[in-house]
Amino acid sequence: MKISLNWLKQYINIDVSTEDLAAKLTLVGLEVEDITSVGASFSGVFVGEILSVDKHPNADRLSVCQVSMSTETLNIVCGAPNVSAGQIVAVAKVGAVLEGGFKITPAKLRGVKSFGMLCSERELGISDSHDSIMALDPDKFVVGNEFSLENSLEPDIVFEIAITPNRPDCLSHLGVAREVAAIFNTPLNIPDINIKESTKAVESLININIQDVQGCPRYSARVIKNVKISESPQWLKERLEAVNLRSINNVVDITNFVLMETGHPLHAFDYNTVEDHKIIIRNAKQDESFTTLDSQKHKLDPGDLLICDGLRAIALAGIMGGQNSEISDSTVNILLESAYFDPKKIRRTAKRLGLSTDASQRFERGADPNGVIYALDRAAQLMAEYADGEISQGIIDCYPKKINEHSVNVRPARVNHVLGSNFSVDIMTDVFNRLYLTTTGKDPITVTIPTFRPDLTHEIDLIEEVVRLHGFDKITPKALTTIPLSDNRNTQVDFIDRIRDFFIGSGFNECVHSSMVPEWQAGIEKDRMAISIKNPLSPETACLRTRILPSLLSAVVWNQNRSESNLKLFEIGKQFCIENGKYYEALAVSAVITGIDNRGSYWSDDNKKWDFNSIKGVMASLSDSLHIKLDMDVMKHSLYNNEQSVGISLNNQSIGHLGRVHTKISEKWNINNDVFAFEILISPMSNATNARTQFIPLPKYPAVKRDLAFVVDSHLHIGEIINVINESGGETCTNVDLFDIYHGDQIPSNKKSAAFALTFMSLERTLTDKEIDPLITKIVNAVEKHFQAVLRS
Amino acid sequence: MSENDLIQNVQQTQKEFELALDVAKDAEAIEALRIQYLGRKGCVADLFKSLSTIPSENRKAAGQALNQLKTNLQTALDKKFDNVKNINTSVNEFDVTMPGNWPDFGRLHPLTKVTREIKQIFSNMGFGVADGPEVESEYYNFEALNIPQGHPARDMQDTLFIDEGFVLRTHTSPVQIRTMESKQPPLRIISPGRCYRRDTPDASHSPMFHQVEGLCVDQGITFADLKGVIQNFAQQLFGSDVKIRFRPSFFPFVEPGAEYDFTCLICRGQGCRVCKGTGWVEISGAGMVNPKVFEHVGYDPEKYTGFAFGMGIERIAMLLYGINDIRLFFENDIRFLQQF
Ligand SMILES: [Zn+2]
Repeated sequence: MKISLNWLKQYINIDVSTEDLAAKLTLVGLEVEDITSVGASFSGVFVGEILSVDKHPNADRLSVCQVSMSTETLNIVCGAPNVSAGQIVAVAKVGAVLEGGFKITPAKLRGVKSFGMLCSERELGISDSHDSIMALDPDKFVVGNEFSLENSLEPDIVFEIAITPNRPDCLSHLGVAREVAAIFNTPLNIPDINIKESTKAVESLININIQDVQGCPRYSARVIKNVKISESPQWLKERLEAVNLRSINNVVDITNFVLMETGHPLHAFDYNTVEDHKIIIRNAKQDESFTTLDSQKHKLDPGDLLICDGLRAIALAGIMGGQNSEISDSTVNILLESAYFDPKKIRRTAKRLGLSTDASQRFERGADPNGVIYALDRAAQLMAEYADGEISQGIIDCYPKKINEHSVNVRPARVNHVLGSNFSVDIMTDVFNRLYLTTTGKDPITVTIPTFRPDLTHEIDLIEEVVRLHGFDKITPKALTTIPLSDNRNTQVDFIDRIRDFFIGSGFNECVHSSMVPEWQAGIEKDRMAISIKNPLSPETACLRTRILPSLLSAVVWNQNRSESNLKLFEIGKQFCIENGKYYEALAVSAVITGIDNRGSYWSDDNKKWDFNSIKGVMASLSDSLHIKLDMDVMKHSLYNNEQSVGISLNNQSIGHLGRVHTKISEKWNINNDVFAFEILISPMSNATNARTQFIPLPKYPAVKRDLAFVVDSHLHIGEIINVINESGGETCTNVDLFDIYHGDQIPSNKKSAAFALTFMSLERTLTDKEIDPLITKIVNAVEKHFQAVLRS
Repeated sequence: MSENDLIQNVQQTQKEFELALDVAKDAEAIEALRIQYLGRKGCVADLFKSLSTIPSENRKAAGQALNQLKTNLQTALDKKFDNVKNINTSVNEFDVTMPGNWPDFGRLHPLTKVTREIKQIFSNMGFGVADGPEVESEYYNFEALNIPQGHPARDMQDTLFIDEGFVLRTHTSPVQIRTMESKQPPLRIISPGRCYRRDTPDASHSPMFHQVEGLCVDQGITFADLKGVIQNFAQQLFGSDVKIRFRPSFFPFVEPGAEYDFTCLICRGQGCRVCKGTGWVEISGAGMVNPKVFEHVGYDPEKYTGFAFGMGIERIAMLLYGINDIRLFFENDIRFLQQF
């Protein structure tokens, strides 16, 4: 909402700086977001007379001037060569704002204090000249007066105030003035109504019939005859220009002016176009359409409210008038409407048609049903004054069921109970009265709520008013003391942090991506149905991601395009999809590894390309660090290369997958290198984990190590051999490590040699060869039998 | 074999030799190469044998090439052998200015770091952590928070809709409702998480962002407690000289509702460009839980009072780290991630 200070000052008499007023408004909840000046591009510039000019003690080119401002004399340092005693000049005093927003503050120039600035033409936006100060004509300017330029709009300051949706009463200058009056505790001067009516009774000129009393609780009208449509007077144009409204003609401008003054929307019809001189307020018929005065044709439905004459619709109630009845240069007689419409109804239509107007914004937040007549009279009076109109006698006021003021009881103890304050009844009563809320009683205080404050319906609303006006700074902060006993510990949060700690300890950088991705990314797996957004900002954010991995691939390509192709990244976030018609979301962690292992030693040449085993090792060590036994088994998955893909499961439940990202996939992202990745669900792991590992006593007896190497078929999976060794070795064989795979000399080309280090241990005694040898034989036999393996000697 | 074939073989051998020599690191490996190439049964000897199969009138060029190869190999082997010997003898001259071998370590995302700090501070004040779905029903996102259908307050945030009755949550406030539905007071929780709004991305807006919402409900909780908690938080995160300010505002689920500001971290309240000369930076909204919200979850508004507050994690991180563009958080540029 734009508020002009000149306009505001018509209703209140305050002597306060612009900045101070803005700060005060902000502190009662009317946040001043921006302050702009209109008309002149400077403020705080006054006419002064140079009394004396002395050389600056430390700078040849500067002078130190004594400047009289009539009530005070200022010390000002000036650099212009033409400065001389006796000149009348424009002085930007401390606090002035010049062209380009340049603000004058007290300064020290080469050791001499300066309280202002003598202006050149450039600083005032008159010309580009800035070599010399502007000498003014002593006959035209009076020392001490505010300096202004001829023929410009009156300088004005405009506040852009963010009005919250609960405060429709502040969508006007009078409304904001009422708040200012409350803040400064000064009277509010509401313009008087002084109307001269003709003898022609309005009842003989117009007939009004409300068919939907719910949608239109009040409709009132006046008829103004013989108006002269012309240009608006200068003051009216200035007011409208300040709030960014275009001046059209005197009649239309007056309705807009009263709207911005009182907050009550009005509509002026060309009386002669109103068929049968009848106004009917009714709901639209199915498939009825209407053309608003912006030439847009709208298809209506029975929920939309129309203002009609004897034949047709002439306005979309509370939103916009129609072309068929609008004011034109040839308009002579005016039907002036002032009404109150149901907020929900107006909002519904405005939303559906995408039509937001100054009128609809006010009606849908809640106009004042009892402000209808004042706005009507105010506009009629101005039309008589500025358009020579003759106001017909009387008002037609259809108000079948009066909306009355209501009252709310406020318990002073409750106010302090909620706020943690110690406010007296007097403070509370004073706040209410300043806000034009009348009160009776002391406990409870019964507060009468005028109809312009539809936001005040409950005790809590009035508690808010007390602290809003009295100030949050009157409440002393208090430290919470009692600790509630509750089961607040969230073990899932701890678990996720353990996963994060594992990854950063293993050299992975954490990523955070938007959950919104383009459709092709969300649909990367054909059998996963993505959740799509109905009203996305762009196709790039049309769906929710079904996996985290695609986001990491995006990070790989982003960094690859910036010459960073050696990456280890992970992300924790939610996967979204539709399962059995329901929205499903699950927390998952994904990791990628690509490029070479360049671990800091850029100068060393033993860097190694990451491969499948690298990512598998990460997965295995994650599993180990979390103390969760995850199984990895051969499983084809569309995200991964056929031969380098495994499924990850926990207690036989599949929770993820791992592998070398399929070339077809990385090509879609334009990734040049091989990417190795996995993605697993977090909840099954956090549910399965025992928060505490149980300690196993350290062995008292030494372990015995034996190595075995087998020649086996080159296609045989090493994992299978390890399983057989583990099985046949029993409890005594506590560990099996692969330490060598060998192809080549002495090994047939379709075979490989696999060497294992076996650890044997007993908790009861030191193992002897006699005990281990039979076990070795057993293991060798088993492996040979299972895989047609041959032991290498 | 033709003369040309032989010359090609010579060139091939030269290349293979160079590759092999490159990886030879010690005297032993170099000696092995000498035997492999220049030994009695070495490659070069083989090539000389094949030379003899070519008619003598056509041998001249090939013979020259072969002799050249032999010389090249000998020179290269000798040179490398000397190099290796020198390295071995100069082992005592330890170069401490060589860059160290860094252990492999990664970094937490700055949003994670800030979230951890926030959680820690509130945890010390007795707040637990709660979570809820990001695809949320309109009931939890709006109605239960006193933002009824058809209310102008719905326009305060631009919503991303999924389908009939479902939206991407516009704030983490629905977690309040879910928590109150499942537990009785006393209650102290914060709920960090992702939120979504239909905001066109720019330096200060992102359609996805992170929020922390806090809620405290008990008998006798007041606005003074809210101020105490926010003040304590501000001072723990930004330093003990930080001041807080509350300004009245409107959020349907709290009343009295306020926005709260911290003194500007850059100018410490003196006024600068970051704070547009006001000395304050806006953090987020807070207030006393609206009795209508308590009615939705079946709490007795006469018996219980509570406060709620929110804050944008990106906003806090931007203030803490001096980051000037919110989009940097989600680009995941490694040069950005490795700064934290
Ligand atoms: Zn600042």
